[in-house]
Amino acid sequence: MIRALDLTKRFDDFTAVDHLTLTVEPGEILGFLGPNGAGKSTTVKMLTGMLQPTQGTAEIAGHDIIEYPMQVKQRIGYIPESGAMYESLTPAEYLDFVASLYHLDPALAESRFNDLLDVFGILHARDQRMTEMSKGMKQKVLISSALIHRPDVLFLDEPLNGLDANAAMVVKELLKKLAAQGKTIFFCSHILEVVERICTRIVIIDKGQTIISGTARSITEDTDSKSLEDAFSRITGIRDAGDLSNDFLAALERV
Amino acid sequence: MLDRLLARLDIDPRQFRALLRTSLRIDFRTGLFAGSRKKKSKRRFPGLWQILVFYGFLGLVISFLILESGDLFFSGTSMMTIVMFSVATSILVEFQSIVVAPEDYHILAHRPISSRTFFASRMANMLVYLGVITGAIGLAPSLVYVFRDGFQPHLGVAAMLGMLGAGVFTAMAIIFLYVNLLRVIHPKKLRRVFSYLQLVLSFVVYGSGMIFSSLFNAGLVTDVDIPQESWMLLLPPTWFSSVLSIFEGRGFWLEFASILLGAGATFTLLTYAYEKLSLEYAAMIARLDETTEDQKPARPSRTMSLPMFRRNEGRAAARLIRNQFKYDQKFRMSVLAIVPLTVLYLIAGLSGGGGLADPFVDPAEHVEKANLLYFAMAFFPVLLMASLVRSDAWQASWIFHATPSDKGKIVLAVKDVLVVFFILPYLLALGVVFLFYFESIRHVLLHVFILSMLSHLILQVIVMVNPYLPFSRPSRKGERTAGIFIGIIVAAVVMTVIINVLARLIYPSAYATGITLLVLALLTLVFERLAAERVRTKTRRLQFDQ
Repeated sequence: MIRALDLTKRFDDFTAVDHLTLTVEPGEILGFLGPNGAGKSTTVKMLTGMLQPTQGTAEIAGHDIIEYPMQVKQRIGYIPESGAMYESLTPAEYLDFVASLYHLDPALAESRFNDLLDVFGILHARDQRMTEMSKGMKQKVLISSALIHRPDVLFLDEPLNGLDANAAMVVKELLKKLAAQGKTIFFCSHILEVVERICTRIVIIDKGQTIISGTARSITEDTDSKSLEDAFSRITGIRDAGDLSNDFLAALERV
Repeated sequence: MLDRLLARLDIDPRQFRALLRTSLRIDFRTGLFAGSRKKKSKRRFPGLWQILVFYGFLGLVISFLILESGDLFFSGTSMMTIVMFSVATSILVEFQSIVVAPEDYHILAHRPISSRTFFASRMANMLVYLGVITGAIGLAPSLVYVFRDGFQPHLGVAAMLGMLGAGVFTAMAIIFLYVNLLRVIHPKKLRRVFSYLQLVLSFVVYGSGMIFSSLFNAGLVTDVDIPQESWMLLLPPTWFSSVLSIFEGRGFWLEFASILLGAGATFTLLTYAYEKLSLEYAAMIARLDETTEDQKPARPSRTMSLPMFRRNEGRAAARLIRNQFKYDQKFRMSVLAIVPLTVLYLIAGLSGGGGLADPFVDPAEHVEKANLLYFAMAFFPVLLMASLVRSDAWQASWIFHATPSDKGKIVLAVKDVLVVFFILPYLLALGVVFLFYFESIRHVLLHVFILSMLSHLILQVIVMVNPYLPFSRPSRKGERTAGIFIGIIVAAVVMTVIINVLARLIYPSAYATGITLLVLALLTLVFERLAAERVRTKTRRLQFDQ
């Protein structure tokens, strides 16, 4: 499970995350939403032990992130939005490398990553350098690398980036099944339809603070909106999308 | 056994091996030792070969010094100084690929790797790099030490050990410097500072080369005999050259003190680096890298209003190259490398006294004095084109393929931009120097005009041979150094011939000069046509990214 208490991160004068408190139970898929710069990535970096909080603390799978970062890192899987990987390696080399970092038996690791690549339909490319691969293929390798050590807690930042419709469907189903197995899933995405469909609960943050939390339906009802997208737009206070698009068109038509 | 040793040091052996294996794979494929990724290329490690050839050549130069010099301490100290300079210049600029990279943080920071394991793997990776550099530089000098006075293999071993020690010390010193400067300077600004520092160092390196060659010519190297004195303990190269004296059996307290000082300093810096080279440090670099440095708003450019750069492909090429020169540090420093080369070649020419003679009055004297200067001049277009093709921002070149722009026109516009914004200012600066020495302003104008036409012709030829779109190919580490080295040799040969023919055969006759001007003008027109045709044919392939 994930339990964050009063989590705060300041960079000089700027407060990226401001006294954030949240809990995600095993078996839950939490949709973590917010406009650009709201503090989502900073929160994820603190929860994954990549960034030290300025204040507050968090527990992941029963371990304090500040006291026991190594134990936390053993139990989590993370898909960063940046998709950073050593791309001059082949998928087989990269997954073997990642498996080694988690002390997986090499034979077990190989059979596991072969299975994962096979499910994603890229087993034929396991020995091809990732520099020569499409964004979608690389994303499949990235997802495999986050799952290969069977983590208890998953942090996913835009995991469907670049995936084709079929692969995206596989991932969405996979997440539901992992949650059913009791895994804890922290899901960040800007694709609100996907969030609405697979997340059991949603937290929306802005300026580092929680604005609203609940199920997609409760958020929609509480904000008197037609959909989660509409609710998000109202809560985070952007201008009307129709007005904005008109301004864009006017700018393009200027002679 | 190694696993047990690593475990004792609190380093996870399996993670250490995985990290080291991966970083070496990256170095050989896309990093420091990588070369061309052309599918047809059968060469396995061309990047590594370039490093070996370049540093091996440096080693050969040192070997001559060792052969000439009878003093072991002098030759050893000179050798260590060159090794330390080479390692310093390399690490200064490539710090974020040799020592620690921001992407390490993004890929590794959420994995259960201890700082000690990460540090050990980075150190091991850096040792491989230092081993390759010192091995390439040190092979020939070590062999010379082994066979110079009978058969003395222990001296060869001492030379290698000393050079490796000097390399490690230098690397640690640079890390110390870098880490401390990072506390007060933004990384982007720091990279710029280091690039200028490299420019200054290149003055020192080229200058030292010239001093050494002068010493050779004067036979002074043979006579140098420097006794080691206690004040020399202040000079780090002497710490490592003392290894040679000890192995030769001449070790006294001063030599031992030198080695102890070197080992102590290296160990202290290693301890410091251990505290700093963690994933948290990579995180700091990554975070600082992500935040942008304060920039002053750019002023609108007047030169952009030149007719050829006012519209379409010409405007796009001019805008791109000028802004890359402003903001792309690698491109700017690559271009500015011509400055130390020119200044030092000019000084070399003038060092004999008498100034640069007027080529129209005293051709033989002019050729003798300005020969090196013309090497630099001929090398400049080669350098410009070589620097212009590769860039870290190469992936942005999709824009050329996704717009209906004429690739041929872009390639030709690039040539024009280089002539107007780089070649002409450079030649005008040379013209100012000529004004001091030539007897008439008319001679200066004519000479600069002919040199401009020659430079333009060189660019036309390069464009015909390799019509690449600007900043469209990925950077290759180490390639610049090797490219410059090859460029210097080719330019030197070509320009020696041209300048001799010009000054000795053509300038003495006004008639021949006039004919030459006409021929050059005609050649320019013909080459422009040929270049356009050839570029058009070749750039058809660029219609799709290949």
